[in-house]
Amino acid sequence: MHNRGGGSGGGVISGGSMSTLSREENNMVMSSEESSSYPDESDLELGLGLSLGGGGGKAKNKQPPPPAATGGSWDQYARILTAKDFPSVVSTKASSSSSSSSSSVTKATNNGSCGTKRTAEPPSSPPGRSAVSQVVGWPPIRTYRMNSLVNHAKSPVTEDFFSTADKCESKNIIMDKSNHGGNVNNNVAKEKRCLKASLFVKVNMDGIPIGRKVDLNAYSCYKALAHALDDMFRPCAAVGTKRSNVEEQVVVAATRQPLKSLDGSSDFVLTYEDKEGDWMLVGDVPWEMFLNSVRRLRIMRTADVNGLGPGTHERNRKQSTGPI
Amino acid sequence: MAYSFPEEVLEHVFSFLSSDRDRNAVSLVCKSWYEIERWCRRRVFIGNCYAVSPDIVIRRFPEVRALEMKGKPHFADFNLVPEGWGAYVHPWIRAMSAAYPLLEEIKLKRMVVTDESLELIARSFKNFKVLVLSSCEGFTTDGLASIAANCRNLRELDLRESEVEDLSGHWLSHFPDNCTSLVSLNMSCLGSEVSFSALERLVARCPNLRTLRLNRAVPIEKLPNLLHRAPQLVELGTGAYSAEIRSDIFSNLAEAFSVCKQLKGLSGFWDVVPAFLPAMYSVCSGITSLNLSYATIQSPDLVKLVSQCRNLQRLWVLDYIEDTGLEALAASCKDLQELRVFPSDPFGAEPNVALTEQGLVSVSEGCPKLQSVLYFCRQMSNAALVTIARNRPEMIRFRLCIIEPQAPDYLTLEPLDAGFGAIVENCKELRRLSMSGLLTDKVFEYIGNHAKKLEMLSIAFAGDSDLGLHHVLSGCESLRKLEIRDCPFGDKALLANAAKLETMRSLWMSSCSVSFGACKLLGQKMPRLNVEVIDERGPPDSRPESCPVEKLYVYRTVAGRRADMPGFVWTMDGDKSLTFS
Repeated sequence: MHNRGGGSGGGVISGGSMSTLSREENNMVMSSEESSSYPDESDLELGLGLSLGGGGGKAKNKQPPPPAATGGSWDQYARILTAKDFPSVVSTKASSSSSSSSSSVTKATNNGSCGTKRTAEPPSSPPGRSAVSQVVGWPPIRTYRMNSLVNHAKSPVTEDFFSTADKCESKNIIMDKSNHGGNVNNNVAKEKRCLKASLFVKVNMDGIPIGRKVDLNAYSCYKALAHALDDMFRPCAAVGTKRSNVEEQVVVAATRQPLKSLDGSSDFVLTYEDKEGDWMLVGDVPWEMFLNSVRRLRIMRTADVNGLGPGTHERNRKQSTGPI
Repeated sequence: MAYSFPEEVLEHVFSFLSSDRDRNAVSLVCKSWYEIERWCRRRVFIGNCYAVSPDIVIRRFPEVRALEMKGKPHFADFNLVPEGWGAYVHPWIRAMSAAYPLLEEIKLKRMVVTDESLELIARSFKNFKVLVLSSCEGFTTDGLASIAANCRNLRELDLRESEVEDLSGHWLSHFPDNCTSLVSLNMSCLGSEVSFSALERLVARCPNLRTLRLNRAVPIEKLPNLLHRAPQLVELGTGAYSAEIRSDIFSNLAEAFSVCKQLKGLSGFWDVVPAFLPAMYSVCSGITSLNLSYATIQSPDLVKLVSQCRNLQRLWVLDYIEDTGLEALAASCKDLQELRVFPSDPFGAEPNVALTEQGLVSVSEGCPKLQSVLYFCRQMSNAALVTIARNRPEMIRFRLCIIEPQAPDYLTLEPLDAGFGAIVENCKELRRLSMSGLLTDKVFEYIGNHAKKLEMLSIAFAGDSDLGLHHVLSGCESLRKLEIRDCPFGDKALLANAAKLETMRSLWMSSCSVSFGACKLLGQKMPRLNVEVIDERGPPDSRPESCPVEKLYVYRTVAGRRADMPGFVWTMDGDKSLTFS
């Protein structure tokens, strides 16, 4: 069993803050909220419960070690760092006001010049879609399921026998396009409207073994997509993977220019594989139609671009085996 | 010292031990028991493929017949782990092809599997029987063709939710005519149409087939052909459940279902046309597991179907079921153990269905055996959570996703600390918990104090300070997996509880406030942990040490740092320098 104040992790709270963390069930108020009082930063001294191994010696024994959780030996306690040693990395208490805006989801109190990119801070979202749609990986729905939902929206259904009224508001959707040349019932289209979700596709760039994934539904047009890919792959090339020096120079040099893949003024072109397995140039068809048929993207060297179109999928199909 | 029993007797006794825990305990008794046990261990489960190396496993357990292994962290399911992170199975297959010629089973989850690996499996293991690839990726239907063609005794081929590059449906035709051993086939994740006649013949010649999960491309009109050839099926996954409304299609379907007296589980149901649902009614009373999570049908149709399934134990459904449907479920299905409700429109700004916390409360009231919940909704209250907790103290898995991050109690506008606190306080057997909504450090205090059997905890957009993380790491004695995103947790709690991390399988923290300096320190001080920093902005030492890292993945390992890290992953090593692999 474990020391009530310290717990099994080996961390020990010293000083006046002990009572805050002790488990006194009587004080647990379940039905009403009272504002918690947090100990002062300066009171909080978290000793590092690190076993320095046999003979590690230099730790000062500040507190009696708690009983071990795992049976390992807890000979020494090393007070290596305290709150005082760190710049204030603890963020301020989250505001308990309404959270309708997702932009308050994280508080980066660290050195602002780190340029921390918070995936949780959403740009303004398209009308009809909540801010949530801009947060990566939230809500936590598996890609497999989300892609199936999207496919629901795209697949034709011959009859519609929904018995309740359509509750969906009019939204910008993919489904509209499948009405072209199909037997799709308008009711079905309206019902399926609700199912627009992420559309993650793989993106590979020539010369970079590791691919990425982008959510095409996060963009409203080709230009936005091209910009995003440019941002994504230019720094990536610099970070890179294992490569020879020469190759590295080539890749870095090539990607120092913006992709500008739509106007053909760079070394790379953006292409995509459609439902039929053909590789096409991105930008030829209306955006919605593109979303409907794209399977994956490839940023191809301009030199390799000749002969894009039906029948090229055999040549261009690549298998990634990963490092072995 | 004389041994009481000859080795063969001990080995025979050990053969009755199937749980890894028991076998591990047996191994610790004495050296000879360790030796005897290791030679007769046939099944190995590796929860983190990087926690150990193929060589170490093979050296200790020379006679393994079944391997089960997991790769990427759970948050990879939500695109939080960049492509190329790792979890390649090939080194394992290569090593095992030499060491375990008698290998029969491979079960993988969240790993990268290539056609080359599949071909090697097909060539190397003459008695290969079971291949389960759950949420895996990296292979194509060509790899499947190798398996089909070469594994003469194949019993199970299950591709659940894997991402397969679907070149064609031709792979299925590679099963030789003399293959009659199939017991389970799950191809539901594939897009391409397979040759129906090949499928039909395969099903017909496999008398032991119990599980058949078709893909969407198999049309409903053809389903009766398969059911007639496999009336012994226990689990069926349909293809697209829609067709022109024709009475002959309906009656054929109804007749085919009526022949399947053993059916216990149903899934599939893409593109459902409700008019065809009554064709299934004859089997409903035997159904214990129903996955309607792709069925975009409305509440009344759902209710009609579900209320026929009086023996239902597991239901997965879309939120089209609504509160009224869940009330009906609670009234009809008293054996219900597991409920999962998925959102039909997670990104819509407004709710599209009348599903609220009330639905879950109804089920918690009406279903006395409810122990496992996954629920997506748009509003929640402390009162509802307290009610659920008091109704169902035997809850084992509770995962609640309120779609809007940091949404408060919609009635009182307070944090949901009290509600989740009630869950952990009442549900003493709780093993898995995922939380959402507005949560302060208080909820973590409750968790640390009460959730003594909690093994896996998922946290997002919650907490105020390091105290929150500290409560969890110091209080949750059984914690094995902790995954955190977008929380203001930083260095102090992590470093103070560094030793705790060795008692866990893994810790994931992304978009938190853990500094690069702290990561380095952790890596230096804890040699038996791999401390991996994932950062796509470039090398962490190109920024100040106090700068928070994008993502941190810490796991215990006896294999040292891995050699296959991509350019955006750095391991914090003891030698005080940034190491690339």
